[in-house]
Parts: sequence; structure tokens; C-alpha cells
Amino acid sequence: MNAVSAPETIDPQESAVICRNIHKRFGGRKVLDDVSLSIPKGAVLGLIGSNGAGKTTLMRILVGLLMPESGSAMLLGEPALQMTDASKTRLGYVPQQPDALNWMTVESMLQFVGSFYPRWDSEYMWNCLMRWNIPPSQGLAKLSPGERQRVALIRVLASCPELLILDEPASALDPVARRDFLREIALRAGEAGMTVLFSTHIVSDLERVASHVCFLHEGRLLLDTAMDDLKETHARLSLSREAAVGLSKPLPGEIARRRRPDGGVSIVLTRRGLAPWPSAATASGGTLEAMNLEDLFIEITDQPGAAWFLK
Amino acid sequence: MTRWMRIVGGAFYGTQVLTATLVLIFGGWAAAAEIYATIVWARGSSGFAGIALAGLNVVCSWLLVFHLAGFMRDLRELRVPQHGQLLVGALIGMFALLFVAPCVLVWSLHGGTRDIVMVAMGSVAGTAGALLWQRRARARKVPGARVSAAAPAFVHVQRPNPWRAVRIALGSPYAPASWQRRVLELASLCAAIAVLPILVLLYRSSMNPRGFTIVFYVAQVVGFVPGIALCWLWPLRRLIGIFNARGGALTELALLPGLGGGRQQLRRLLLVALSLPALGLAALLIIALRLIALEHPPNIGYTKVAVTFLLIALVTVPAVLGQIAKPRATVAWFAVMIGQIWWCTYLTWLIPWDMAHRLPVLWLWLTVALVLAVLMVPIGMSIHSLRKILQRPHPFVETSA
Repeated sequence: MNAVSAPETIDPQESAVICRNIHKRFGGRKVLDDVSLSIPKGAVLGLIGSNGAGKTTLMRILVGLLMPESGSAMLLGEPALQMTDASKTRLGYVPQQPDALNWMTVESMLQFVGSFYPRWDSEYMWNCLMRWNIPPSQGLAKLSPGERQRVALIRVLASCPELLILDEPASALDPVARRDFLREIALRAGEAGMTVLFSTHIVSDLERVASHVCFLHEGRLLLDTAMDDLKETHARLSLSREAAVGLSKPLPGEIARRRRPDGGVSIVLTRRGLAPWPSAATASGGTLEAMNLEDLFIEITDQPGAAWFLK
Repeated sequence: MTRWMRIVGGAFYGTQVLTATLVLIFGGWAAAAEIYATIVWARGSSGFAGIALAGLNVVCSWLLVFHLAGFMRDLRELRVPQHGQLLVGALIGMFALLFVAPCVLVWSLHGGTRDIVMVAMGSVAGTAGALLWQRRARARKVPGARVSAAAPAFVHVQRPNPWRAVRIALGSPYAPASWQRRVLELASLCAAIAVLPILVLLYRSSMNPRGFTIVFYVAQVVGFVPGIALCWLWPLRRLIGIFNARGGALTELALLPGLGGGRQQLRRLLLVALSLPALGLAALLIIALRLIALEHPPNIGYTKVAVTFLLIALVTVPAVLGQIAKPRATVAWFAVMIGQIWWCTYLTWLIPWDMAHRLPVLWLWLTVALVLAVLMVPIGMSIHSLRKILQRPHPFVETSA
């Protein structure tokens, strides 16, 4: 199932998050441009994009912390801006810089927050604190950014949410903590059916746990795909300088084109399911090769105005 | 020797806290000693002044030993060569400051043996308290003892009621705190207000009467500056911090279940956030009026004080609401708005209010109209910002574009 779907075809009962035609500007600069997204329940959606692509803005709109200029966001079947307490207990959100209540100690903050959640898992909280060697009596403000991020992750995971929204959750974690965290996410998604939306720059993290991936670039959602289908539905057509001369128009299914330093051209192509690749691609004399996520990210984002290819 | 001088100098001037502490201690001692000497001279016995002196010595000893312990820790961590000799020197200096100097001072002021013993006991108590505090702090920070091996049994913390939750989220000074902390805060506030006038009183003998009166008035006014900063501006800064911090406490409050709807939260937040500074400002106003009353001024004096405090509120509230309504407004704008307090204060005191009797009626009404028009600016700004805030579906939702 695709993460991004046409809004009218989405079943609200099947989706944990639905947003339709979201537009947002900051000071005249378009940050989100007609973003529509739906995340099916139980999916782990990795949102990937370069700096300033609009990932944080989209997430803040999804959890109802930012008001879009137009469009709507629904979370767990309710408008994001008018969430009820019942929905709030089912939601976990970690911002990029978790500075909340940083005048408290780790323990007092977790206990304070935990008192609001009926399903608060205190045992899990203490186990995590021990495993990650975080002193409970330490003030949050005195923790390192990585430790603060760990505490924020403990806070949301201990509340046993049904929907987890994480804004670059592993950016400040060391490899061991990151592996622990990703394992936890995969476990919870697999066993408890938790829906996860997380943004990241680290492609390997995404490959490890995400069931779906979305590319956000210059405020537009460029593509969405299930991770399993990625290699089958996307390919890179490499053309020599001579072969590229005759290919001035975009090929069918072309989503990005990049000129290589040797004068050749790399074209990213997509197709629906296992449909054959466009004949123009195979006839051009170039080579078609499967792509991993990192290649795809570089090919798509390493060019200005990539968003226009999907229009 | 030069290296030692550098180390000691660094310890003193590297952290302004230590320097400020020493200034406070010496100022406090000088003030207490003068009061003590006056009482001993007037009554022949010290009475309560001896106990007060001993109490002051507890605080001074606590502060000095606390800093000394920090200094020793730094020396160990920095692995300064020959730090042993330096430590011995520091300990001798501390002994002289904590025990010898206070006892000699009391003795030189013709204090009795009982007072000397009490002051020495005060030093012992303060030293013991500081050492215990240090030990407790160290125990908390031992890396091996960070988290106990076994997870503590789950104690379900009672969910705080929404009012209390807002106070907790706002942090100090709103957050619930122990009575010891409250007493300490109150004492700090009193000290901040009173330290300057007390210092002026101490040096009264070296000034002529007219000079003393002017300096004393200035000291009283300046003494209120930290009072207003602590009681009024600091709590309001906390409120702004809640709204300004991207991904900060506002996120926490907005997504915490059980705190009610948006309007409810906004009302609760504003009530909690404004009640404390309002109470603080009212308390300062009462103190100021009581101080004025000691001099039996004409009624206009009371009016001027009241108007000054009213202007403080009128100038700061629009700045605060403006920051909440549009969190990305520059800090400089906020500083300029807050800076108007002093300008308004000076204006209030410089304008000859009795001029109103001499003005023609038309001019009088024109002046009144002008003043009202000027007052409408901050009131209008407040209403405008408040309307913007109320337009939000939730108090913590950002709407700015």
C-alpha cells in the first residue's frame, strides 16, 4: 500500500494519519506546497529529505502544533488542531530538539509526564534509563544533546503510543543507542501494530526499519513507495555523452535527471508495479541498474527544481 | 609564586559568583557589626544582636566553605602542581575568615564571651552544613551510582490537577517548591532590595546630611530595580519562554492529555502566569508606599509611586502579549519595550504635578486628553495581541507565517 494516496480514496479507519493539500509559507517562502499524505495503521514511514525540505514543518502540522495556511490534517481520526484527550494519550511526538521541561530532573519529568498517561510503562522507563546509563537525578538542562534525545525517546515509548511521530530521532544518538532504538521501533511496530512516522537524514536507519519511504524535497512530496518495491519500481538509466545527445525531452516515468562530471547523464525512472520499462529507455543504448535508497536520495535531491518532474 | 597568584586570581575573578559572594559577606558583616556595636553601646548588652550575628555567620561560613570545596575540587581536577601547599594556604585563610576574624570583631566591639562562643558555633554549623551539602551533591553525581542496579518499584504518581500541571510546566518561580526554597527566594529578594540602602546607611557618617538624603533616595529607587526584575520581569520571561521555545515546553503542554481544551488551557495559563508577578508587583508597591510613609510626604508622593507601578504594568504587558502573539518578534523589540519602564519612571517623578493647579482649564483638559491618548497605545497593543492569541484554536499552536 502506498503511503501517499489520492485523498478521496483514503479510508479514515485504515489510516493513522491523513493530510490533504497542505500549504505553508514562512515569510513569503513556500515551505510546504500541496502535500497530501496518508499513513496506513501499522506502517513505519520514513520521511527523508534534505535540510530545509519542510520535514519538521510537516510534522508540526501533523501533530497540531502549527497551523497550515490551507489544507487539513487528521490524526487518529480527529482533526490535528482539535485533538481530544483520548487521542493525545495514543500519540507520541518527539521534536527535533527536545527541550521540554528542561528545568526538571530526568526522573521528575518522566514521572510528571507519566502521570498523564494511563498506559505508562514505568518498568520500561527504568530499564531504559539503566541501559542507557542516564542518571535519573540529573537535571535535563545538564544532559548532553544525545542524552536528552534518549530521555525524550524514553518518554514517548513509555507512554505506549499507537502513533509515534519522531523528528530526526536518531540524529544525536551514538551507534549503539541508535541500534537499540531502531530495534525497539521495529519490535513495537511488528508486535503492537504501532504506526510510526519518522524523519531522518540517515538512510541506513530508514532501510533498517521503514516499511514505506517518502521523499520530501523543496516542500513537495516527490515520491512514495513501499521499501520492498523500491528496487523493482525505480532504476537508474546511465547514458554516455553521445547517447544522451538525442534525449532532450523527459522520458516516460522519468522523475529526475542529473548530468555527471564525465558529460554523461543519469536518469531516474519509475514504473508501476512490474510493468515494463519505457521502450525509449532500453532503446537509448544506456544501462539500467537497480538503485538503493541512498542512490535514489542523491539522484533526486542533487538538482534544482526536482519537484517539477512529478508535476 | 606568580602561578599561584594566577590560580587564586582566577578562582576569584573567573567566576563572578565568588566575588559577589565575598562582597555580600563583607557588606553583611559590616552592617551587622554596626548594628551590634550600636546596641552594645546603647544598652550595654547585645541581646538579640548577638544571635543575629551568629546567624549571619552560619550563612557566611556556609557560602565560604561551599566555594572552598569547589575550589579544592577544581584544583584536584586540574592537577595543579604543588596544589597541596595552595590548599593549606586556602584552609588557613578560610580558618582566619571563618573563626578568627568574626571572633576578633565581636571582641573588638566589646562583645561578651557568650557572643564570641555563639559566633564561633555559627561558623562550625555553617561549615558542617556546607560539607554535608557537598557530600550529598557528590553522591548524586558518582558515575557508578547513577542508576541503581534494580529498577525501583513503580510508584504511580498522582496526576496533578490542571492548575498544578501548568505551574509545573512553567518552572521556577511558578512551580511548586519546598518551603525552604521559598524562604530562600524571599530572603534573596529582601536582600536584593535592601542591600544598597543598608550600604548607604553604613557610610552615613562619612556624608553630609544633604548628600546622604540624595544618595539614600537613589539607593532606595535602585534597590527596587532588582525587586521589579525578580518579581515582575523574570516570571513574565518564563511565560514568553513557554511560547517561544520551538519544540520546547509548549509542545509538552499542547500534547499532554487531560489538560482540557484550548480556551481552558489559555485561560488557566494566563491566570497562573500573571497572578504571581501581579502579586509580586503589588507587594513591592506596598513596600514602596510604606517606605514613603515613613517620611510623611504630601499625598502627591503616594500618587507618584502608584502611577510608577501602574506604568510598569502598562508598559510590560503589551510587550509580553506581543511576544506571545508573534513569537518571532525580535528580542530587541522586547528589550526596547521593557526599557520604557525607566523612561516612564523618570517622567513620572520629574513632572511637577502641582502644576495642574496653575494651568488654565483648557490646557488642563488637553493635558489629560493627551495622557489618556498616550495610555491608549499600550492598552490598544495589548488588546490587539490578545485578540490574535484568542484566534488560535489552541494557545500553543503557531499561526505566524
